[in-house]
Amino acid sequence: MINVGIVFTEKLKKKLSTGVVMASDRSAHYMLTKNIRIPTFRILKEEEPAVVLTGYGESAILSDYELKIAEFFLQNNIVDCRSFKNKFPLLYRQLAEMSQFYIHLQGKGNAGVIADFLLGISDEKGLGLLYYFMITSQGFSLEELTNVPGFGVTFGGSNEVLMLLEELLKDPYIGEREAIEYAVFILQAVKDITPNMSSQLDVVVLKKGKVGIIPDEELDKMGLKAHVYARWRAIYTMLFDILKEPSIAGNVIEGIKSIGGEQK
Amino acid sequence: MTLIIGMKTTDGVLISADKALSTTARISTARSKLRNYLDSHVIMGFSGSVSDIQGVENGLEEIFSAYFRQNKFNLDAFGKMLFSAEFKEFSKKYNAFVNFSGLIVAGEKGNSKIYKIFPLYRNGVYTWGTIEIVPREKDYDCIGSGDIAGATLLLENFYSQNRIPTKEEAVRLCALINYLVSLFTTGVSSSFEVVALTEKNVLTLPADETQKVSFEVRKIWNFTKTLGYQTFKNLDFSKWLITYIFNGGHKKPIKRMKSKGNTIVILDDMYKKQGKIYSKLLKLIPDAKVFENPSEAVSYIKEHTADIKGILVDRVVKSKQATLKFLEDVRELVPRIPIVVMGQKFAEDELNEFSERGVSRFILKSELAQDEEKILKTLQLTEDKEKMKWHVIKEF
Repeated sequence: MINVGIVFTEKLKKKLSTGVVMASDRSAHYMLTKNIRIPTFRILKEEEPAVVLTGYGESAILSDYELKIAEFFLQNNIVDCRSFKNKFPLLYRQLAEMSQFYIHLQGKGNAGVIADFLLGISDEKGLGLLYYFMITSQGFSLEELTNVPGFGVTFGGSNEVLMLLEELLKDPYIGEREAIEYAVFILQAVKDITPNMSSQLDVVVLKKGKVGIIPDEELDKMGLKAHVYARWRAIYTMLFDILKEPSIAGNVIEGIKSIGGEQK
Repeated sequence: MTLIIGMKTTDGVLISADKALSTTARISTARSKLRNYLDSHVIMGFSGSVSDIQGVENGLEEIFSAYFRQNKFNLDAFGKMLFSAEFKEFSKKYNAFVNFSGLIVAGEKGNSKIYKIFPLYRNGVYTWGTIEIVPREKDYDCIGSGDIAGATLLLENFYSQNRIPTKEEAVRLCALINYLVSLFTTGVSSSFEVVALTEKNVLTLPADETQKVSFEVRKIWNFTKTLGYQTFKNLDFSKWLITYIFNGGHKKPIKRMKSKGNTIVILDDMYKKQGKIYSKLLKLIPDAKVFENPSEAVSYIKEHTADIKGILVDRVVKSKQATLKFLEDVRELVPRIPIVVMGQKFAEDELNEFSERGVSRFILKSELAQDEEKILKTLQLTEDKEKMKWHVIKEF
């Protein structure tokens, strides 16, 4: 299964407000490992929400991490992003200790990812944070993705999709609609080249201290999935057509000029 | 890491290998990564660490030649050989110290197969993964090797649309995958080498040719990427793109987009005196209209704007000023039509003067009488497609 997290930015009366979009497909078959669990959005807190989107890993390990983070929120009275950031070193230390235990348990010789997940937080003041957590047999990392180009992907621990995204998203600021579309697009595009991914997708939007879930059925009703997929197919078809006959590119440019569409 | 791609095409099978190893090891080119055996019926691509590859290569060569020493090569026997006891012995011999995987491409009489040698790992002190060379005799259409799963899947998806590519298209696809993988993976180079096995011969694309392809493909990728980016920014644009692509708007032949006409307008006041040149030229260009007077030519162009494909003008028609004025008039009437100026010789200042008035090409009159191909190319009468220059290694 593939998870995507994207930070979006919106302008509200001269003020920038950020939020987080997290999306995941519903398959549990991507990795052939025992005890793998269906990816879930675990909403740790409803108000001033914190959401964990678990990726790859054994259910016991993932639950352990979730509980630890939920406990951290409760004990340290985290009410907004700022207080989370202030207490972040404490969380980092706690998770590092836990990770040492699991790395020891798995044995350093076993290559590969032990667990990974995305953590999204949002508060009423219009701030959003996105973290990517990954633990491998070599070590663990907890990375804030907010200030980088604004997205994160868990892909069984590989960074190829992340690089692809960097290649695609040159603009660091994207709006909410675009972010949702990108998330759906990435999942659909990756599904085309990845076996055993589900076509059912769930999206969670964290914005101004509230959390909203757009389940697959809703995405279907909105027509968003179909529209995004049609676009992906159009670009994909065109890419292969141009590879077949490079002069077609000239025709497409002429076509763009004829509708007055701008081309960068 | 090395990226090896094997693909079936409409006229055979091809295999490509990236050239990353050449910079790091004693192997000077990627050529040794693509080796051919058995009278060029079998080509192999390897990925793995260098010293191991050398050993495996030599070992495989021994086995192949021993097996086919008496008999002539045929594809079925080759498939069986990969499951034979000798081959299994070979994999046992190497599994203790080899970090290696590869592709075998084999073909005879238009029939061809791609085999994958499953990886034989030895990472650090841990031996893990499959510890046997397992040639799987599945009939692959395409496969990428070098443990880059995404490349294989991208290719498989391409073939799932029932598009068996031509050689040229396959090379472009290889170039695209090589480029994309080189972006995301350290140790894979975007430059690559291709060997194709067809019914009649073994062909190769040398490095300077694949470099051209690579450059072209990068432009295509950037173009498509920009379009993709636009569709997310602009909903109207995305709707237009979908209808345009799926209604086949892009499939109109490029000729019709550029110009509908076929007529070449020739302007030369010495036309009748230079019969030798023009008799030959007019045979080459059946749709030519020859004028001696600039004003006549201009009025013809005005009336037949849509029919005109190109204009060929003498350097001096009556006077040089008259020529320049003619060019200015024509540029206004037909801004996109190519104009070629012919003359006995050109001074540098002259070239600039003409270029400023939209002249794209120049041709010497002496060449007009001799080089037919050049004339047609200069006047854009032939399709100016850059074709890949394949080199023949061996003919069957």
